[in-house]
Amino acid sequence: MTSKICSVKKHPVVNFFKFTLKKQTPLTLLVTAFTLLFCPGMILSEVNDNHLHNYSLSPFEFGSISAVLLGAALALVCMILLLNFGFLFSKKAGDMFNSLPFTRNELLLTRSLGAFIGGFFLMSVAYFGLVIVNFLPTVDGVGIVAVINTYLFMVLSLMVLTAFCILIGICCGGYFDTVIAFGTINVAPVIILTFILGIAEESVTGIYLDYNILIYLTPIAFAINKVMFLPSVIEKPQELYTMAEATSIYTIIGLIVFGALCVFLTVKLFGKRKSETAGEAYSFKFMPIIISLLVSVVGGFFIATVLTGFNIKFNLTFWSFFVVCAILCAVAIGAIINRSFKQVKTFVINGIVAVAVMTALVIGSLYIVGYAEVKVPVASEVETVYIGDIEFKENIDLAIKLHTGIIENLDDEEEYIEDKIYPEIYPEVVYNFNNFDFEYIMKNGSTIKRNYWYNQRTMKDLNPDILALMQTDEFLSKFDLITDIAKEEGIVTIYSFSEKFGTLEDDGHQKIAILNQKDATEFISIFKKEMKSADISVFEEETYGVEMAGEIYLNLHIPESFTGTIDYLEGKFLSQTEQTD
Amino acid sequence: MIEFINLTKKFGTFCAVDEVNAKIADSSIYGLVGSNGSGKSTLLRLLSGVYYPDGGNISVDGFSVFNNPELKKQIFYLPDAPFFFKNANLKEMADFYEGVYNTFDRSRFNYLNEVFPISSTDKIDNMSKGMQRQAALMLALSTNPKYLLLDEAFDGLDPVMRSVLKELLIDGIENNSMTVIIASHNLRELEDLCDHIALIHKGKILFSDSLDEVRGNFHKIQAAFKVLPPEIKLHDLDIIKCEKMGSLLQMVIRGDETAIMEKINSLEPIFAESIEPTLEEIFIYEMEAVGYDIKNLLS
Repeated sequence: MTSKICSVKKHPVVNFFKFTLKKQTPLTLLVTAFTLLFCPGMILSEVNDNHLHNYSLSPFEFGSISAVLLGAALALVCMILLLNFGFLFSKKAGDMFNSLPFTRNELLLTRSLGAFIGGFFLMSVAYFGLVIVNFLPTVDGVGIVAVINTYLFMVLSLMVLTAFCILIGICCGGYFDTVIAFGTINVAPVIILTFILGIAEESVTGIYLDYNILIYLTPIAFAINKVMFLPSVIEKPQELYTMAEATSIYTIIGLIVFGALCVFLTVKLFGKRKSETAGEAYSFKFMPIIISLLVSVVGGFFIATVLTGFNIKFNLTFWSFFVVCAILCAVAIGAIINRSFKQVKTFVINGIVAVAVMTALVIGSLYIVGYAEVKVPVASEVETVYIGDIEFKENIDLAIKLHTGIIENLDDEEEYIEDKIYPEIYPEVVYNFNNFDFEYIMKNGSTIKRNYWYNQRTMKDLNPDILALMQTDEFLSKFDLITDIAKEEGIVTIYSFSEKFGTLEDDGHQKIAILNQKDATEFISIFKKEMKSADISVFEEETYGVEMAGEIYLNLHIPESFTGTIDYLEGKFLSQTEQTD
Repeated sequence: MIEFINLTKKFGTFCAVDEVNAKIADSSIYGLVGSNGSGKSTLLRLLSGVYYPDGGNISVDGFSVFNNPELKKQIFYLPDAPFFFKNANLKEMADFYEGVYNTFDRSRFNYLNEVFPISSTDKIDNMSKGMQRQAALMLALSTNPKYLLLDEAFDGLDPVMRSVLKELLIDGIENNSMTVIIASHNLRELEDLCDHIALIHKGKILFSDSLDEVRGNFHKIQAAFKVLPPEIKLHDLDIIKCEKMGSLLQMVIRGDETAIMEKINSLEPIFAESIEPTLEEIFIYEMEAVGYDIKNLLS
């Protein structure tokens, strides 16, 4: 009895916080129980299934499971927030909560902290389960450094994401509208940027756009992505050096700054929030504007895409559909927000503004991307260049010459697209140069990427340049892989896949050659010699195709004039064959 | 003491409370009367710190209420639609208020639970409107507030419970120096309870006065004469309203009752009597005098 009195006489805010935690406990325990079925439940089941062998919990798998736990914790935080902040959405509850003897900040803090603690509890318990599995004797898991760092990063992420969710919540006045706002603010920017990048890629040849930027548009996707790769980055930093940089201290500082900004805005806005807006769609005038602009663009884009048969282009047809659909979507979301059509004019204007902004963004991006398309790096600034997966460090000039030639030979857009969709037969010479992926690593550390399809009709003048590249030692050294495999594994298997070789039987059995290290070295040596002395007529020749299989697979298209190479192979084919699929 | 100074609250373009000025004395019962949408509830919400005023100020004991927990500890606002946690019972709600209000008196709660015969373990959601109202009143009175704000407090209560509530409120004022502000659209409900009455319409307080003064100042006189006296002879009286029915005069007169009766008797009526008007009648007369159709305001 004494303890009861003591607890009651504590500070009202403490009592209120305890009451908040008590109310949310059943939901927290229920969702935690479901999460525990996944982790460690499901993982333990897998470990048990593999008990005869060591179970390998890869860093990526550890990161993926951690990301799911963060997602589950965030889902619980959102559920608790909707419960705890019910007084923002109901006048009846608002009357009671706002008349309680607390400051607004105390009310905000107790309810927010309660939600965070719920999510934190779930995440910590399930993560503890994952860690136990990770350190089981039969499990080959990640190291303690990765375990601790991942957990700390998850806690930081959960704090930031909780602040972000509260910020959205306090701007809303109804459950339904909160869900719409949450979905729109998190999803719409991603769709809009995808839309802009997609149109840029469709409209401008050669450009290679990095869609990884999309994860930076929503803090939830960003945090979950970082958690997913963090253990891999910690365990294998040398293999994931780019990502290691991306998950550096700057990521943590960025998250903290973003979280602090969310907290600052939440406190400011919550202080200014009018209690009487409970039950209305949104509590601040800027919210309907933001939501209608975003929904207008996304809705307009989606419907226009469907109506034009998924033919997304920056042309009159698609854009006409987009403009009309965007304005209609703005009116529709306006009607949903107002629960009536009383502000149609305002939302039509919002739709027009959204269309105007999008048009400006798309034209701007096309201009920027178009400029990039014709910009070829200066050789003196390039450290090295990759075409496909072949590095040309000693022949940068040749690569740039080819790149320049491709740009000069780019056809007009219509013909290009036609060729892209129905490409003419490209020369299957040696190594599939049917498209050219240029990746320049610049001396200042930056990278420039371009991608072009080979167009036989418009680019055949470039054949001498392509041949010159194919005759370089850097290109031909690619085939040393075959001798390396033969050296490591003892043999390398070669399968014929073109009819040019003929088959042993009429039912399409492949010819197989098994080369030992000596044979493989000899075979590659003959091939290189013939390649060095080839002329551009090889581009007009029929080719013999083989697939070399060992630790890696490598396709080789041997022009018919490479008689030494072909004869050598013919002499090595076995009489036993293998059925082709 | 509570003081409204040019208090204004707007919802968009609609002005719910329009530059209201009033003073409410401690240890009194202040009645706010007005039709639906007149601004009574908004005024109470402003007073309880639920709403922030768009203009003017509310001063309680010299301090602003909004975001002032020390002051809000002394105020309990019971809205017309009280809120209870989902599936909560009376005991759980009492535990909640006990944690939040340091002034919560558990023994008083137990006493009130005997006065209001409500189960403390049944879900409040499943109770009738009247029982929910009783539960809310029990909780409100148990917090021993200095200022109790009641919105349509008698709604849903049966006559016995209305009477019990009135006694409890008077007891609170006498023993705990409580100040009660009751908003109601029913004037008759407040007339035997309030010390002070204010009539609110379209966000403005049209009339505000002490009930004793109002009552003492208005007299309904009926007098029969053989021959009706000429109007000139009644000029000395502050007649609010006068109706003639044959030789019978029915008048509402403002002023001292003795003086009025002396004047009437000097006109040698067959009989003359003074009847105490109902509060509603006083309001009707007073407001009609300043040009309002009071019957519509109070309907």
